[in-house]
Amino acid sequence: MFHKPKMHSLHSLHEGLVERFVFKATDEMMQSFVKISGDINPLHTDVNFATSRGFDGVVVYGGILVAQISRMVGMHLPGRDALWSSLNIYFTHPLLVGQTAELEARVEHISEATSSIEFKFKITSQGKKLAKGSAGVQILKPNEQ
Amino acid sequence: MERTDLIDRINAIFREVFDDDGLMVTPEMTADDIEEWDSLSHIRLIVAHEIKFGVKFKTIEINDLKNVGNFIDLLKSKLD
Repeated sequence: MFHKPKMHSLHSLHEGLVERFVFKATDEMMQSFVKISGDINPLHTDVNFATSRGFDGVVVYGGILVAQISRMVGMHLPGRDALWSSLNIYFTHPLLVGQTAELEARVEHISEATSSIEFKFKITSQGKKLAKGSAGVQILKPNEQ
Repeated sequence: MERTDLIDRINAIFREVFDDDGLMVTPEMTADDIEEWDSLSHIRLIVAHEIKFGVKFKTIEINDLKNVGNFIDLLKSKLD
């Protein structure tokens, strides 16, 4: 599952470049996120509560979707030399545990002056858009000797 | 674009980046005048201007700036 991060530089990227991957929301992810966040809200932990509130199952933490954006930044856009600087995100539909989703990111802007990029992203599952937004990432350079 | 219109648009971007509705840019202003103007907010500031005005800056152009007045001149030169 784990590969080495890509090593994009400003010059190996171009506006319009698209990266995407598919992920599955698992029980293990949910349990790990409880440990990380301390969030045991029943919408994410109690199927009876979740269904009583109109959902078809336990709702995946939004933070897990954000974790996949972190994966996009740190492994793909730009990969190894990333320093994540901003995130705007809108959640539009829930992802349920056991479902798969696709994260797609498109480079919208490359700034040579600041060695940074902006990309827009969307997360979709079963034809529905679950989240959308944008992120800004600085591309670090080695210290000059 | 008239210089006053340009300054109004720049001012709006500064207010958004630094989350300060009362901020008024002046030609003499520098990073020392705004507490939140650090390296990361500097990147947001430059990128926001690039995107909103549809221009690109070069590293050397940004490094040569001494104050906001220099920045206004640089941006105006790219738009004219």
